[in-house]
Amino acid sequence: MFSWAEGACASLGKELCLSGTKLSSTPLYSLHKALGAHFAPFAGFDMALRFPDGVLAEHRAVRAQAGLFDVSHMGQAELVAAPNVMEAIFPMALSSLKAGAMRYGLLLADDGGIVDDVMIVRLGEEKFRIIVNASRRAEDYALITARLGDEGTLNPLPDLALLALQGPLAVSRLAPLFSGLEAMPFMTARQFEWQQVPVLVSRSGYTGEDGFELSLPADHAESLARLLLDGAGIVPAGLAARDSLRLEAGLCLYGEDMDCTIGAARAGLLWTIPKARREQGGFAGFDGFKQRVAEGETNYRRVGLMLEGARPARAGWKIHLPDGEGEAIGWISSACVAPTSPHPLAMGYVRREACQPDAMFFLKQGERGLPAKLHPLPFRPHNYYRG
Amino acid sequence: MAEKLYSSQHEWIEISGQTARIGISHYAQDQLGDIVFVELPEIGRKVAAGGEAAIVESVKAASEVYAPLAGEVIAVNQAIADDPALVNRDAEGEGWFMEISLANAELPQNLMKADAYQAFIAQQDS
Repeated sequence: MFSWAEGACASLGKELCLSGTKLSSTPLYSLHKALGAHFAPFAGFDMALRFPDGVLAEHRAVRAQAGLFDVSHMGQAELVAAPNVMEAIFPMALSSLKAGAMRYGLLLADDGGIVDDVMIVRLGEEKFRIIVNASRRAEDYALITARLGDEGTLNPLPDLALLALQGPLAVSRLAPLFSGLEAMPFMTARQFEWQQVPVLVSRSGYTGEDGFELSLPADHAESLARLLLDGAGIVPAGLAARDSLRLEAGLCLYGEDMDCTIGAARAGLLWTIPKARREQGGFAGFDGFKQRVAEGETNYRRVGLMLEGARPARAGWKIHLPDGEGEAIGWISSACVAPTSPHPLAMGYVRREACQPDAMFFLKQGERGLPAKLHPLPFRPHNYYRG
Repeated sequence: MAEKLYSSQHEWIEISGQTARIGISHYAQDQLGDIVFVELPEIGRKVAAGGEAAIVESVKAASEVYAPLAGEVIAVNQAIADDPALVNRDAEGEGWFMEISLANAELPQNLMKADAYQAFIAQQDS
């Protein structure tokens, strides 16, 4: 003991644990410390990994009640640009995105590799809010700024916190504070005021549950968090639970399930690019995107795998045919224990021809291995509120 | 009642004459987080002092459990195989891992009594 420290760092987004580098804190750091959280470095931040009752209890609580996450480490920025300029940068349908609506999509490198997955909220005719992964903030902002040229601006919003309240109790917990919130459909956003503080509330999240994300000045985040945690059934939840929840929901984690070597087709994220745009292009990375498909990047598919028994597999393990012999036919990109699924879960990439329904595989690390079955994604149906 | 001695690898050992019971410390289970699987050795297996004796899998990673002293495995705790969370709930009691017959009569130099171990982990955390 302990390989856990390296394991925890290594499997949470492949981030370097920069020893000797001062870590930043999120707005809820003091509160999390007071609640007895275990911390770990992630993307340059000292993040609450889990709370005293443990990650399995947090995961269950989010599915059955609600969990409050501090995801302020993620990058939030304002983008001021015409919709056609935005569409030249992002392979997404942004012209047709109404004010108050939001979309999930990709930022592609010129060679078609995925630079990041992002959320874009339309706030006005030429005004957008973008949320990016903490680990990619610098790369994303530099690339977007370069592509904007003098046709728009990106203004980082480092003074904003981002809280996520996820789970079936979220709406009833928030409705008294934000009048009319319960009517918001999934993937919409609205400006509210709470105690004279502006809060951009979106019905969104990354757990597969109904829930909301609240963007507000960092100075007020702790007050709001304390208020929300005061409700029955609302628990604080950390990064580890966030990871097992999103995996069970079939959602990708940048740095694990995709990186700049993987394109949209292989990652199973073609659905984020409107069909017409996949054919006509007009976005940065289109040539690379087409070339990857032409060169057969879909020879591997991103799949879900369900283990047997209780022993988990881990990211980085190789995937073999059931006899475990011969060459690997794939690899595990991320794995977790999800207490609301019957067995441990994994996501990975497998050779296309091996991906028959209910196909069995053998997940190997060195001489040790575990059987697993192909499982459709998501592992658990989503509970989004469609109105 | 036999007192516990602790290793720098966060295992404990409780010696009763020629046999000893082994587990992981409360601090260890707290650092590991939720334990989801344990791999226990077979009866009769010989373990070396400081050698791998078992594997404990938490949500995030697999870790080795090392035998603080050399011996032969004479019993394993099926209760933790059936309910790995028992190690989290009671690492220094019902969550024990195995019992061994000791290879040597000598008491080890490198194991810590409870207060020395507490000081050791306090220093680790600072």
